[in-house]
Amino acid sequence: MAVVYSREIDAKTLTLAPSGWTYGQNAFRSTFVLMDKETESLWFPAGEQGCALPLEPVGESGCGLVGISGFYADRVLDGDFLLSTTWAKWKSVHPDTKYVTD
Amino acid sequence: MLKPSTYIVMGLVAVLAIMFVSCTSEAPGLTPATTPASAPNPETGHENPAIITDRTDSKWDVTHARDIYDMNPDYFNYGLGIGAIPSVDDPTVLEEGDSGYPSPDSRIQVFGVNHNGEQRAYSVSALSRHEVFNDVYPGVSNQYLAVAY
Repeated sequence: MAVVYSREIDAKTLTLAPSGWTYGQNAFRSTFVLMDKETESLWFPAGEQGCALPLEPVGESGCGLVGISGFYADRVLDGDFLLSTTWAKWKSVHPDTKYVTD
Repeated sequence: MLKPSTYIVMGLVAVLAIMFVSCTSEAPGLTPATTPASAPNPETGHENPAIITDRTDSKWDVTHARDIYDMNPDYFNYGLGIGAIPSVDDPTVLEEGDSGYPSPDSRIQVFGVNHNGEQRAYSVSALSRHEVFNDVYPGVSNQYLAVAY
């Protein structure tokens, strides 16, 4: 599963990246802890069901990134779940789609 | 009315007490190696800051995560360091006709995003290598999104 997040806050644009940490009681089933390159605050998925950290609903979708440490502690970046599909199916529904890779 | 000798005794006691306190606090063996403990959090009772050190020796303060979100500092794993898994900050966005644009019947796995009237499909294999894509959508607002795997 993937999540798309807004990365705008206080009229600034953040660049999100893996912090190198994951979080979870079981290291093999733990969740990536993200950071923003601008302040190196740590961000973790939190909110309703399906989020790694159970919390009250976060943002409009009920799930988002919550600042767990650093400058943006307690702030929220709203998120939405994405379901994986095959390119063929996606392309048949969205013929004008672009393809994004590294 | 106290006798003058009483004042002298009290003064000596005070001087000795001050000397004792200053000696104690300056004794090298008693100086804490790390930063002094902050005041205990009234809700959690934690007294010490929670600092975790990653494999590049960078230190991360997760006191707030512990005290506010009840996260256990021991459950932070790997600690590979910043940049060990590089995010994609300038992704390659291909349109129909571009070299590398998949053929319509391709079975490769993607995550689809529909935003600001534009559809983009993110390669799952590229996402699994980088974890995060920072992307920009055309539009007047909410242009900046990140897709995280």
